[in-house]
Amino acid sequence: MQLEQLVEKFREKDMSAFETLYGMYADNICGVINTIVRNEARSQEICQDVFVKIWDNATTYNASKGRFFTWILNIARNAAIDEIRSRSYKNEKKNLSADYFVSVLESKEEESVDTMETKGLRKLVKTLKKKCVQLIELLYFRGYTQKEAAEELAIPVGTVKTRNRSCISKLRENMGER
Amino acid sequence: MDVQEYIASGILELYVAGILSEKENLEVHTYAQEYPEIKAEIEAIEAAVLEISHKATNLPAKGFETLKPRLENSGETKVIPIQRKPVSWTAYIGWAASILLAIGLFGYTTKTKHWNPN
Repeated sequence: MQLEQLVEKFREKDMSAFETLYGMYADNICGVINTIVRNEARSQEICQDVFVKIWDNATTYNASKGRFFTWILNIARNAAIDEIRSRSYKNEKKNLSADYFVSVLESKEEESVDTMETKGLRKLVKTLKKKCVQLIELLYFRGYTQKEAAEELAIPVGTVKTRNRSCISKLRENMGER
Repeated sequence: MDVQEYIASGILELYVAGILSEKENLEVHTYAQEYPEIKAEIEAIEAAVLEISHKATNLPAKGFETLKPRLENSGETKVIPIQRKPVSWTAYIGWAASILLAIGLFGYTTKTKHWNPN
């Protein structure tokens, strides 16, 4: 079934369509939440809450507002950011700097045992510069605006759009090589 | 409109990130319906973001069956019944006591209204 049809069925509260969509995106969504929350157990809980919320708000989704994945990614980012803004995370501000994804990539690169996953990842990012990885984390995993990302990385605002384009293009090239 | 130039501008990548203004979002959506190349480009960008978010984060989601019961009990049908406990006579004692006190105070103040310390 086409994505558009699935999403349309989901909007009509079709449980099996939602199950298919969950299968397509849940790992990505839970993973992105964990890059922000950094606690696997808690991230799993938030991830489930996020999918309940998505289900509850099914009728409010409208394709003219953006891609389905973009919509759920946004809900997930907001939930994760709410989590770290509350509670004990207040005392761990230093951990909130946007370098988690970079460090995950670096630590995965250092792992001596090559699992299928790390091999795939290494191939994916081998030619990506650190500044690309940082930018992707800020824009996609954290939902920074162009202006915020520019400030964080100390680059001109106008550069964000073009640099991101070339970073994603590089990523796509790497995907194609496999 | 130059489709290639539009694609090269990088706006579609920001569209997938979900960080465009409402107006820009609608513009991209309209163009995507009009030009198949733009739609295909958006899909390819999304695939790349899905790939890297999956590979880099690696926190497998729980199975759908753990979520399903929550979905079934969720949304518009969720009504929490209000359970009224029968009120026992002890609950009225406080009210009775405060009413008596009020009457007592009223009586006391009216009686002593003309009291003059001198």
